[in-house]
Amino acid sequence: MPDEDGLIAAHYRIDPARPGPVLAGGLRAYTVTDRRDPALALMAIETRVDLPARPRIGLSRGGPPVPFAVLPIEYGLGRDASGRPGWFIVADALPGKAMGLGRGPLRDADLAALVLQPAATALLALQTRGLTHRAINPDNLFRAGPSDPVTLGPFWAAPPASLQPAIFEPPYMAVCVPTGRGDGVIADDIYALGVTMLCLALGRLPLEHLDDAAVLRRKLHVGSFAALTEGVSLSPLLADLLSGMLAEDPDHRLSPALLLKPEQARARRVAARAPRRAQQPLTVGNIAVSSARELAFAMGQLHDRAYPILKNGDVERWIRRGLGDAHLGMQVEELMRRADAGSPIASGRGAPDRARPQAGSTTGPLQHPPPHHQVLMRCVAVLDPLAPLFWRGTAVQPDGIGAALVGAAPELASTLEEIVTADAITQFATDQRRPDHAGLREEQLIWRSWLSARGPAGGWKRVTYAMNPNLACASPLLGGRPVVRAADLLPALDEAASNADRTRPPIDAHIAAFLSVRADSTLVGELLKLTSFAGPGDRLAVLRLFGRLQMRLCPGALPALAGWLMTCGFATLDDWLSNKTRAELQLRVADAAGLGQISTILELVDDDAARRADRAGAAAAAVRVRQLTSALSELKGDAPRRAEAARLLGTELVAGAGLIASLGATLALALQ
Amino acid sequence: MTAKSVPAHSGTVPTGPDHIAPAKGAGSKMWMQGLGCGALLTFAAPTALMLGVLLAPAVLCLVVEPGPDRGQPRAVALGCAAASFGPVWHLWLAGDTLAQTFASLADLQTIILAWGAGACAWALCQVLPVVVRSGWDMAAGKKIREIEAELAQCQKDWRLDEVPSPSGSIGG
Repeated sequence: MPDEDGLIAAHYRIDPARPGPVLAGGLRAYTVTDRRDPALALMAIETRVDLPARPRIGLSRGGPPVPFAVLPIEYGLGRDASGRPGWFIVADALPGKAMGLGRGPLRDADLAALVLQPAATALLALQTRGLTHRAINPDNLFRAGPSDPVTLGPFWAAPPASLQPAIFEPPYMAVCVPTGRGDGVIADDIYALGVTMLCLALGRLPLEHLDDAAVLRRKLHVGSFAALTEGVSLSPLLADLLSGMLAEDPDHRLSPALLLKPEQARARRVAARAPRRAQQPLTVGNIAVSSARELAFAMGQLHDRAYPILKNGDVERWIRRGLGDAHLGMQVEELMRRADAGSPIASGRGAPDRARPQAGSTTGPLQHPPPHHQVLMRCVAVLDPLAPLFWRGTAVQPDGIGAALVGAAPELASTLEEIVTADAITQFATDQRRPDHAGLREEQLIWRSWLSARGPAGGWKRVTYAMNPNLACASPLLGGRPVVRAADLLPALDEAASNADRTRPPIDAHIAAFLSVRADSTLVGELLKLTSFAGPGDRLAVLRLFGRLQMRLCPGALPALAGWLMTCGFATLDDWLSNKTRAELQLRVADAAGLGQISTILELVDDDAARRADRAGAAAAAVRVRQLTSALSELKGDAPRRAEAARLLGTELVAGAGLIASLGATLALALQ
Repeated sequence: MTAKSVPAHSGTVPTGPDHIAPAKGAGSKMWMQGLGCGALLTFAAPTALMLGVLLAPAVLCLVVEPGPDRGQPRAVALGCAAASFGPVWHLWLAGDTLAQTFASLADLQTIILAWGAGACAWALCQVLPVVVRSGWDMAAGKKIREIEAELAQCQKDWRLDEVPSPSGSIGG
């Protein structure tokens, strides 16, 4: 948890007198001061629990500077002006207000000098670092004054492109669920920059009378550049630049380096082949399509309507005859032929129709969805190599599945889970001949192995935390406190203990899954041993887990959490056989709990040598008790024999005395 | 003196090692004793008369308190005998005559001394076992108290009912 002073990362303090702006997605910015250098102009953005910061945010820090972009400096727990804990990312302050729209069109010269040049410079630097921005739009461009160059706003406080309006994204990104768009490539930033420049040149949003779905259909039908500039008068320079920036294929778009030299960039011509169009459109559901890309998107979105016409051959015939693309038709025919033959590769491992996996399920063998979803997914990938992964009408980029899982509605979560369990990502990457298909396949194998792990530390929760390194633990036991690092977990639980129901254990499936990903790998073994949190073995395992966590990550006192563990009986001494030792240990454990030292409690309770000595002592005592019991019963049952022996001894003694007296008398007579 | 002299379990057929069979030759021994007494009466009637009177308590004890080991009559007989050697010796020195026997027996001091010795022996046979038994019982009681205290301490110190025991439960 944040330190007592509420400092972020021990150095940055939120200035309550100077609140910052509210950014896209409701992300709140605060003015912060660095206690080491109060003159620095800094801000901190508080992340949302349901929108984890980008996984590669760590790469944004350090390294060569990125001009005209706001990059994070530090991140960590802190407290806002009201004292509420939050997860903050500290960055340089924004230079001014957002450009936005509504201030009239921008002149071409200003557009080139104040927007294009700085933005291309920033994108080139980001590309050098292997990063993308994915949040370029007029509301995320900031400048100090009207004649100053723009600065690209924050892009790291939420999943990539998750807060981006759909019109600024290329079709294959716009169709995806917002949090599932993935990192993309720098060409996707060029596309967003092109749309942004068009908006600034027009002073308004193009196609603003259409909704997102209609804009997407329009872009697919005539192409992005034509759709967005329809009926708009542009200067030749801008038209040439936008034509290159809004190309459908990211490989055909202008690079940031080229955009730094607009004259060279407009002269660059990429001979992109025009898509084949059919004179007679094919109807998928209520959508009429006339190109392979339109068909792919329609089939992906209307999966329940698309499969019948794919199955009866209408799609293949239309491709061959309507589009005149025999090669594509042959690919679709081959796909269907293999699906009909029950090939496990084509038909999703051949399962005819099994139950959908339960959302959030954590145990049991992985179940495979009906095969036609995989056929449709593969068909879409074949029809449009740029298309995202479509499954049950939902589109997502493979590297966006993790972020999309966060806070997903049950239906969406179930769909995403099916994508992983059905090996859809591997098939998709192979069909699209993606260069990263080997890496995606490896990742999917890891996810599946985690899914098959039994117990609370496996399953979907673990996959979700693994896919989102900056996702805060969603355990209700934390009472809404943001915990992103394992080191912050125990202090947060300690703070939450005062209001917690102490009859319930201070660990649940969320915390187990969270720790299995974020904690030391040596603790994962302990976590995987957990079956529940109530059994005697589990209680010791949880105590061992918390004790080791405290020992390694947070050596401070945790009295409330220790008390919580004691109340729930996690520091149980019931299995100690020596009453004296147990009483002594109880006193020492109570002392350690009072001092908040869970690691000390663990050392006392989980002492193997002492436990062995206790058992050996008990065994020796048992043997001694058996001996004593036997001797006691012998003594108690020996009274008659003792009485008889006493009688005999008495009479013999008297007889002996008589004999001696007789001998004495005889001797006396003999001596007379 | 030994446990073998304790009667076997009453009401059961004596088949165990504790059973004592009648000594071989017990009948002939009795005949020999009878023969000895007869010979004594025949050849030393005064001595036999004097011994018969002076050892009468032993005979009485043998009749009244017959035991398997005849320890008590034996003790009484030895007690009486210690006081009888003197009169018998004087009888023999005086010629072993019936007159002398009656004269000695007429002296009450002689009879009182012999019978008193027998009575003392009988009384010691009654008292000494009680004293010995009391001593032994006291020692056993002390030992029992020590064992019970140690058992109680074990029960207090250890949860013995949870110790796995191959020979069954452990009781105190």
